[in-house]
Amino acid sequence: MKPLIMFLAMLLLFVSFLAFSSDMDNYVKLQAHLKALAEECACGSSLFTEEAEYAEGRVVIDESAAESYIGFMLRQAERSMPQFSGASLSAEFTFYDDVKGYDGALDYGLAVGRPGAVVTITYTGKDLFRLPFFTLKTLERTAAYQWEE
Amino acid sequence: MKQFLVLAAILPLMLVFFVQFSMDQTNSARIGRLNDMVYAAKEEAKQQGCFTRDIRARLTAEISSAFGIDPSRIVIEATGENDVKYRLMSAAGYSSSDWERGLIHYKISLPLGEIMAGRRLFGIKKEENTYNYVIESYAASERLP
Repeated sequence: MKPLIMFLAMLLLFVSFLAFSSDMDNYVKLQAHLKALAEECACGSSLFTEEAEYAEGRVVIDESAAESYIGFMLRQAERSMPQFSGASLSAEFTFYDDVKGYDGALDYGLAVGRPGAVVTITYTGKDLFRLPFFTLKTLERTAAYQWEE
Repeated sequence: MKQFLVLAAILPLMLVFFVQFSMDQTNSARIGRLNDMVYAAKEEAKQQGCFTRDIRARLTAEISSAFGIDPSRIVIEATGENDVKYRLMSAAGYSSSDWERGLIHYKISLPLGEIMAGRRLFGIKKEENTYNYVIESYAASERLP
């Protein structure tokens, strides 16, 4: 009887360890995909500029176009990336340019005077860890992009 | 003797866990490396406006040599030279369904490693023990018209 109990205890321990290890792997991968998506949203959205302002010599990011672009990217990622299936993605963004100003840009390591964007993407989905004593349903990654001089 | 027999019976089962752990680590490292390769190719494609033949060939060769996969099993579906994308300078005149006009699409899929250790012990066929890893996304083209 004793070996059986020992066997069951070890089996339980090993299964738990394996489940935790593979969940942790998935978590790290998900972070990498989320980071890549945040970077893509930040640099893609910064490319939309307002032509009238540009004619005046200012580089101003077209916020509504940038917002639509980010929304498109998030919906595409939810649809096509298996890693995001069943989850919902949302984004918060701040743009820095000659009209909106550069308050807070330094916090993200961005230089003042050059237009840029900071995008934070939040992933909300089912619990990433199968073990009952670990719960993680949301992830967040932030990316910053800035125009070169 | 009885305990020795029990040990002989459960040892292979217990060892599977250790092999599985290292297999997971290996697969994870491979996926990380693949992501880096795709990321570098995508950054280059953004400058060119598409996945040129040269970028595709280099990516295929890199993946093939790094993972020991036959190049014919690496599938790259991406915006090509016949459909070069240019940077959208302004959103004026574009509806929300038009976003793909300035975006480079890419989808890279390839078969990756064994998933479960102790395949023979559990009676799993080799071809059933692999999986297709897919990376699919869009990138905004930075190529100027």
